[in-house]
Amino acid sequence: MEKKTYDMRGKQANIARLWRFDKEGFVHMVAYRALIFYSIPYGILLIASLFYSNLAPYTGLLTAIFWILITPQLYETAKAFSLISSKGLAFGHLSEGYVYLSKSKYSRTGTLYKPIPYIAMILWLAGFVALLLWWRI
Amino acid sequence: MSAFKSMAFFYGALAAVPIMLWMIAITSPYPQFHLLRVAFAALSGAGAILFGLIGFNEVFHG
Repeated sequence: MEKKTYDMRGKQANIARLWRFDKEGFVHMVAYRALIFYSIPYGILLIASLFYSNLAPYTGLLTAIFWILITPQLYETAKAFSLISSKGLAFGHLSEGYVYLSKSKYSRTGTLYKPIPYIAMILWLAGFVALLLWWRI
Repeated sequence: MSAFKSMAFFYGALAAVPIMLWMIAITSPYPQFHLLRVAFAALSGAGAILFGLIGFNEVFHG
């Protein structure tokens, strides 16, 4: 069955369709679509650089581009982990009644899970600085 | 998209490849970790290719 290329948000080919109401989703989607094309030649070149040393100087720049493109994916993955682990209390758009019941009846809070995506981004940025300063395989 | 493909895509590439690249970056100043970086680079390259192939299939073929 052919994949439907449109839904209530518009056509999939319209890359601006999320911009009006979900800017975070827009950034995630654009970076993801660029990444699925970029990551294949990047992966091939990264493996090739292990066998051909003249490719090694380029791996830093190519990895920096990959690093930037995969940042939204990593953030969303960490955010999804927090969302699922906290049963929706972290980053979930839940009704106030459900949140109240979840906290009072089940003693759940999302407090421990909310910092996870931001900690992941801080560590990721620190790694990017290390890449710019010291990258070598 | 099958369940296996979804798991391989999300956990294998989305988490493992960035983590391995991060490990390469932070161990770069230390020559004693060269072999570890080579291993991570090989696995990251394979993971990036897998990510691209499955992602391309998922976006354009559902």
